[in-house]
Order: sequence, then C-alpha cells, then structure tokens
Amino acid sequence: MNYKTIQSTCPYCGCGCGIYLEVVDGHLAGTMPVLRHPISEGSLCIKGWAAHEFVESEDRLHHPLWKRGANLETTDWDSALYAVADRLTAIKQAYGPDSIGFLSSAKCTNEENFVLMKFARAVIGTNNIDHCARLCHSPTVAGLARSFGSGAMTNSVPELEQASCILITGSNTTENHPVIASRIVKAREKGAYVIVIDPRRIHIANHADLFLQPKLGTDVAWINGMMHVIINEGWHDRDFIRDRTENFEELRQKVAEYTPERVREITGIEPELLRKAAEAYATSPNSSIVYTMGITEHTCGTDNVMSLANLSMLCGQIGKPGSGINPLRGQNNVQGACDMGALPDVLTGYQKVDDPATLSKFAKAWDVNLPRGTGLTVVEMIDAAMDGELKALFVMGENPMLSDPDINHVKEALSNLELLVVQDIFMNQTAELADVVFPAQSYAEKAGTVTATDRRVQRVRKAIEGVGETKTDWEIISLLAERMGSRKFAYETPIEIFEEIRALTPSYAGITYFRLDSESLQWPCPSEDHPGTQYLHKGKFTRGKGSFVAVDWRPPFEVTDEEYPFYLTTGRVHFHYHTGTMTRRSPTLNREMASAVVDISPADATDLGIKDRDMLKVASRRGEVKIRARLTNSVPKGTIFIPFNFQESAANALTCSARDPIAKIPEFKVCAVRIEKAARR
Amino acid sequence: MITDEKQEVAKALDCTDFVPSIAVFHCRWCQPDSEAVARMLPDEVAQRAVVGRLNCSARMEAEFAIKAFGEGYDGVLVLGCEFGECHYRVGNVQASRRLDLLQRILALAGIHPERVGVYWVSLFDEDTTRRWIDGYIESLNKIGPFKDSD
Amino acid sequence: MPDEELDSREEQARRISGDLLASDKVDGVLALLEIRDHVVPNLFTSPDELTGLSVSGRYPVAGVAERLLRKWETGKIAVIARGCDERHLIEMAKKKSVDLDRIRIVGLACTVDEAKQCHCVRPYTHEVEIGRSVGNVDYLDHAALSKLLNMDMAERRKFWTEIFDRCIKCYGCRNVCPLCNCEDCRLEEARWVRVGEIPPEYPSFHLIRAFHMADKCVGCFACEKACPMGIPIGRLHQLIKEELKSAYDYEAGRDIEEMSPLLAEGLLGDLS
Repeated sequence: MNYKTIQSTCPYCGCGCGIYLEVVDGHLAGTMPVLRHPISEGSLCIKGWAAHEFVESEDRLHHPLWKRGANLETTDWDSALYAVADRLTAIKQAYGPDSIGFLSSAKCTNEENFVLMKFARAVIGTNNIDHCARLCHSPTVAGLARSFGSGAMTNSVPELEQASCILITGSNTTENHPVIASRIVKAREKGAYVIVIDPRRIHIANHADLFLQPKLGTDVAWINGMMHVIINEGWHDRDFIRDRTENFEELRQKVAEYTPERVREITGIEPELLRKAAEAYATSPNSSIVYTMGITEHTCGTDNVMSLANLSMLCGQIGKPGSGINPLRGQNNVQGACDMGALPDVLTGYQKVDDPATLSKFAKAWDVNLPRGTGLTVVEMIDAAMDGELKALFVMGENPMLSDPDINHVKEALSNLELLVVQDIFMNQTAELADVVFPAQSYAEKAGTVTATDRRVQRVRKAIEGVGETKTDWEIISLLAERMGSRKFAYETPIEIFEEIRALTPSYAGITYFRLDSESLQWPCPSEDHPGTQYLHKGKFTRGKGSFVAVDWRPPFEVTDEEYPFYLTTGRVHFHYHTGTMTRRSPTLNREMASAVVDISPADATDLGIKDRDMLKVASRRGEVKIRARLTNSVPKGTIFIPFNFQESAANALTCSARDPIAKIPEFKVCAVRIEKAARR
Repeated sequence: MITDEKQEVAKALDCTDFVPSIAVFHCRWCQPDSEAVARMLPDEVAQRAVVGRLNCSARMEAEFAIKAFGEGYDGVLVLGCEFGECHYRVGNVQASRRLDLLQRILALAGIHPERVGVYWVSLFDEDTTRRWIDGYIESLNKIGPFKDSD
Repeated sequence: MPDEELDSREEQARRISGDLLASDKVDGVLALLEIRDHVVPNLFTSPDELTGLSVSGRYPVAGVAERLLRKWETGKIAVIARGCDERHLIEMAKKKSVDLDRIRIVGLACTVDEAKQCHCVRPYTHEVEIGRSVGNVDYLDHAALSKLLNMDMAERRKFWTEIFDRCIKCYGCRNVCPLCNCEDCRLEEARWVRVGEIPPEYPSFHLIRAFHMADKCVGCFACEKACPMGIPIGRLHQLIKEELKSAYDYEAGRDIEEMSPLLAEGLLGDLS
C-alpha cells in the first residue's frame, strides 16, 4: 500500500501552476492543486486536473525505432544511437555543420534545452537551433528587446490583482491562461477597470468593463490611435518620457497621422470607444497590458509588440507594480527554452552569438570553437530542407507537421531530408516521417526546472519510473554526444546541468536546486542571496532608456477577395493543448471535445444556408479541410475561427507562411478562405 | 445577461404575446394517457408543450427540470398521485420532497420556484386538476419567459 | 500561545501515528506531510517518515481515503481527520462508499484561526485525540450570506447568472469534494450538460451539482477554495443546507444513522 504525492509543475500552459501528482503503488492516480502556490493558489484548470492522464497511456513510445523500408521498426538503444551518430558525422563532413538543424522543445526542461543547444553548437558546430517560440512569441522577444532591451514579461502574475486597469488584447485569457484570467477577474472584483480589445468576442469580454472589436490585423492602427488621443488630451506621462525614454518626437509625429476617424476607417472602432479606452489606460494609477498570439502571429507581429511597448512608455505604465507589458507565454517551458538559448542568435540568457566576450566564455567552458553568425529559424529550416540545403533535422518534443503553417509544404520539406530524427513521448505526424525515433520521458518521469511566463523558475520532480525503455531527453542527447566523441556531456544528474547553466548565465546565477526546493524564483536572480526580480525596468530599462519605435500600420499579407471571401483566424481551445498529442489521449479532455469545430457567425451561416453541426469544406490557396460548423456570436461576420489542435481538420493546412520580417513568425492569424457545405456522405 | 428585469418590464407593458413553453411529466397511474394530459392544457400551451410519462412521480429528477429550463422551457409541471394513493406507497412523498428542495434551490438562484408546478392528482376529479393547471399557467404568464435572448 | 499549541498537536499526532503503526493495527496513516513549506497528503507506512507529519494546512483527505480503500481490497488505514474530514467520512459511509471498519479516525481539533479560515461551525471530531476542541463556533460569513438572502428574485438571478458565467468548467469544485465520487458523474454526461463549452451550460452544470450536493454537503468550503474564478459556490451550498435544516432538521455528516430526508428508505420506515 503505497501512496505519495509529488510536487511538480503543470506540463501544459505557461501559467506555471503547481500540482501534486498522486502516486498509488508506483502509478499516477491523479493530481491535486497546491494550496499555497504563488500562481495557482489552490486551484487548477481542467487540463491541470487531468495532467496525469496521458503519462501512462498505452500509446507511449517504449522503444527506439528506426526506418526499415517504409516502416518504423523497434530497435535497441545502442543501434539507434550509433546510427544517428554515424549519420550526423557523415552529413557534417559532407555538407558542413550548417546542413544540420535542431528543433528544441518548449515542453522539455531547462536542462534539456541547454543540453540540446550545447550539442548543436559544441558537437555539430551550428547555430541552427530554434523552437516553437518562433511560432508564437518571437515578436515579443524581438520587439521588446528593441524597445526595452529585454524580451520577457515585465511584471508578475500575482501583481495583476494590484492593477487598477488591465488592457487585454489578442488573448483569450479564460480559455488559454485560465489561472491568469482568475487574477484579472479578482482584480475586477477589487475595482479594476478591464478593457478587452479583440476581433472575437471572447469569454473574458463578458467580464470586462469595455470591449472593442477591431478588424483582424489592424492592431498598430488602434494602438497608434490610442496614443494619438492620449497625447492630444495631455494624458501622457511627460516626466517619464523625458527621463526614461528616447525617440519620442518620431513617435509623436507618427501617431499624429492616426486620427480617431482614420482609426475607425481602418479598424472599425468608434472614436468614443477608442477615447474611453485611451483615457482609462493612461490615467489609471497602475495599468497592465496583457497580450498573446492575437498580437504576435502577424506579418507585423514585431510592430504590434513595439506599439504596445510605445503605449506603456507613453503613459509611464511600466517599471512599477501592477503595470507593464505582460506577454503570456504559451508553453510550460517556452520561456525557459528561450532563456536557455535554444534560438539561432543567442546563447543562454540572450547573450548574443556574435558577442566576443560571450563566445570566449562559452568556448572556454566547452573547450571548443563556437559557430558564428545567426542560424536558421524554424520556418527557414523548413524552407532550407525543401531547397535541399538542410540535410538533417533533429526534432526534440515538437510537432511541426501540425504546428507549422502550410503543413503540406512542411511534409514535402521533411521528406526531402537525408536524416530526420525525432525524440518524443508519443508517435505523432512528424515522427511518422522520421528515420529514427528516440522514446523520451514525460515531465512526471524526470527531474528538472521549467520557467513560467513571469520568468518564474520552478521544479518538476520525478513521480514515477520511466515507462518502457524511455530515457530522459538530456540523457539521450548526452549519450549521442558521447558517441560522437565529446567528453563534455558526462552528466549524472540534472543538477549538474543546472550548475553549468548558472555558471554561464548571469540572470540564473543565483538560482539553485536547494533554493527551488522551498520557493520559486524569478530571474534576473544574479546571486544566491538575491530574492529574484518581481518586475523589470524599475528605475531604468535593461537597455538604459526605453526606445519609442514609430511604426505604421500595414495590412495582412493575404486579404479576402472574390475567390476567397472569408477571413480565417486560428488559435486554441481550452480543452486541448496545441497538437493534441497529450490532451487527445486524456479521457477527461477528449470527452469535452473530441473533434474540431469551425466557429462561424449566425449571419454568415444564414447567408450560406448552414446550420449548427453541418459539415463544411473550408479551402484556402494552400489546402482544404472538412470540419463541423459551430454557430456563435463570438466571431464577427466575415471571419471564421478554426482551432489548430486537431490533425484531421488541421487549421494549418489552410494557413499561409508569410512572415514577419524581423521575428520570422508566420501569419497564423489572418488568411483568406472560402466556405461551402460538404457534400453528403 | 439573462435577468428577470426584462420580464418585469414586459409584465408592466402588459405584453400578451407570451405563451409559456412547458414540459409536463405525469405519473402513469394518476393519468395513463399523455394525450389526455395534453388536453388538460390550454390549446396554445398544449401546442408547444412536451408531455412525458413516468412510471411514478418519484422517477422525476431535478435534472429534468433544470435541463428543461436550460433548453428554453418556461415551466415544468409534474403530476403525480395523491398522497396515500401511490402505487409504490411512498414514491409521491419522495417526489414531493425532492421537488420541494428543487424549488428552494431555484429560488436561491433567482429562478421563480413557481416555474416548477407540482400537483397531486385525484383520479376522480379532472375538473379540479384542469382548474389547477390553469392557475399554474396563469402564474407563468405573470412571471414571463425563462430566457431572455442573448 | 498558538505556536505552542501547534507544536504539541504535531507531537501528539506523531505519537499516536507511531503507536498505530507499531501495533500493526493499521497498514498506514493518511495525514499531511510537510515538505518545503508545503503540506501534501501522504500515507505514512513507516515510523521514520513521521518526523515530517504536519497538522497545519488542510486537504480534503477523506476523498483520498475513499479512493485508496477502493483500490486496495483489504487493509485498514488511520486518517488524521479534522471535523470536516470526519463528517465527509460519515456521509460517505452512509452511501456505503467507505467501510468505516477499515478506517481508524484520529480526531484532530482545529484552532480558532483554522476554523475562521474555513468559515467553520464545528471544527472538531466526535472524539478529539489531537489538540483541544474550541467547541461549537460560528465563523460563517453571515454578512455575505445575508446579502444573498436579502436580494430579490431579479437580483439573485443576475448575481448568479453573471458569476456562473465566469466558470471555466475546471471541475475543481467537484474534484476536491470528497462526497463527489460517483463513477458516472452526471456533469460529465452530454445529455445533461453540453460538452466543450466555456462557460458550461447554464443552469445545468451548477444547479444539478447544487441539487446533488444538497443532502451531502458538510460545509467544508473546499469547493470555493478550489475555484479559480472566485465563484462563491460554498455559499450557495450553505444556504441550501440551511433550507434542509429548517425543513427537516437534517444536517449532513452529523450522525451516520441520520438518513437523508430525500431517501425513500426513511419514508417507508415512517409509513410502516
């Protein structure tokens, strides 16, 4: 009779809720909330309550696989590891290190991201490493880095309750960051003024004081419009602008062009509503901006982010509690994956790959010459594979076959590679195309650290033994590195890896496993007696003065026309998580939503003769999907919404891969489609 | 938001367009024929009513009523046997307590408890039953529709 | 002196647990383990683990006990139970979800502070072995309850409709409640509550649960604590309990012989 509870961190979203995994006789039996947790305070969302369900699923990969003919067959670790080591060595020799690319995982621990990043740079010698942050918050990282010098959430989740005004834009908070929505609701109970600005009338709009519904892809316009009104009315914080920012004059001239009338023309927002929002945000003592993909997943994603940064600096609503710019990171460890340098242009802690001091520090630590020059991003790697320039791709805990845009193109590209290695816990659409598949361990079978959206580093702890012959991701990569001749991967425990991270990363230097045993710590945490940093940019910005960046609105890449008269916007649903590899194997979640639906407005449905639950065919220039209709008032006329979680109705078969030029994020949020009723079976 | 305020206003304006949609559950022993039950309702109400037959009023669950309201019904009417006449001895007593509790819970949640009508039918007095039902419909007319359109 | 009291409660708990384990009367002691400033439910099976046993913090351990005893066909466990935990166990025993012969309840009395945190009226067990009972108290939030009762129908409807509209169907209220242990939960049946909707179908989700809990709720307020959206669901349950008290003088969890007024069994007894 054995019953234990192990404290860990929920593996789903970036809220970073604490969970207890209940273990009965060595198997997972359930989860419980952590009463005194700083983020979740004794509650969980339905995914957190079901976080154990997929772990011991019979679908788990138990053994290494390699391709024989057209099929993947079981093999042993030694054979699989040597096969990959040999092929990588050969490809590196024949085509050079940059013919190999790495996709790291926002679901794996910091230690694992670090080890893969180190492998890419120290063993292979390439900066071609990236991960799915490219597809979600890369504009945040790029944009805020330019505006403030640091690309992370400026304030903390608990602080939202202290805000007197919260502006939520492009974030379906109750569905995708429910425990953070909880803080917003509590803030409102205390009197905070909540503004929601979103092209869809999402759930949290019902719990807001003001709701603005701009047209898709018009965010720079309404943000510039708000700033126009604020400056005209004299609501801006002149002292803050004078003392703590630069380039105000350029901004002022630019936003002067965005009169409320022009803003209405572009966005559809009425001038009185724009003014109301502007006044509330600017004049409130502590105003927070909260945003996610609705802002970033555009060809002007970086511009959108910098516009929000402009707005916050204009009103001095940053660098103090209950304020700031708060991008809500999607994955449980996407913040960590970025912090660990699983990105083509930085090493850990955003130290640039071309900075001489950084290069020298890492070269010394790793006893190797480091590659120079920015590597390829996720989307560029797919293009390079298509062109035949990328010969090998190593994918850890990612599923580009469902999460990348234009997935028919992705399939072609991946099929073109000489070597595709996938390391994952489940078979998925990407793994099916692989030459070798390594079976990895889930969050419940290993120890490590993960970093939540508010820079909060927390522990995951081992609750059960790894199923089958699985190994942890860091162990697999270390064994591979050893097979390829490196002696720098002789790790016995994750603590050793973390100690190496600390030594190389000033913002993590004060964080230790010992300290994490009793508290979570928010970076920057430069020393062991530093309490961690609740909010950033106090007194001065990371780059010194905040930089206003004057931006112009430009329309989305693909607009509607006669052939494709509807806008498609994509996103997530509450009950499933991303490509559904975990949630669609969880009975509790699957029961709520077993298949995809397309949200369509009743007006459009009437025009097209569509009833609720009718099967529809939705087509774009890239592909088509069959999907059931759900009539709802949340989407405006002329726009439909498809969640990307369901393979058989893959939203990304329709999306286009047009990118933001700086961050390279695809425009998941806007493309043009046509809709018709599907022919009866 | 769904509120009863609009209903008060409609009442004040003496809006006579409202015809309540009701779900009727009757025990087979007090009245075996659902058609006969429907005939006890005013015509326009009967046209849009659903009538379900139960083996005993004790088969009536709170869920039936709660779900009915969610589906847009304005009232739920339960007909069972008089006390002492239950074929299963205490089925109607159990139903009575259950429905009484349901009415109290609805009232706490701001839903008029009179929407759930409970009547113990004497086999021999159809007229009295019909009059009672008329009174019940009248009370629904006064309260107004359950749902406001969103 | 609260600290002193707390210390000696811990010591008492560890001593009693140690004795029970040593005497082989139980296979394990279900209580809270203190790790790193947090307390978690744990089954202590060996005396050396007992140094971590804590009596601060509260988890609805009765639910854990029920699940463990359901999984293990034989065996007996001790449960360090507060007043609410014992009431949970009594209610579950009424339904035959647990066999009280397989549970050795070790009664823990709550302090005044603990009782206040939980809005408790009976922060002690039938037999108190750990700590000292503070007796019957009334820490219910009467202001909040009165506010709800003083609203008229339209206000009540507006209040509950708007607040239930926050619900994200996490099932936390149901998951933490030890009395909510039906294998086939009605809330999960699409026939009664449409699936895949946020907020969940109104009034089905919340009122069906409120009805089911009416004669079972022992007023521990764990549901409210588990709700991420701040829905005061415990208050609604409390008001419903008061209805049953005034109509039938019925209180859940008070006495294992006290049958729910909604059950036919009790009625048959009356009539014969």
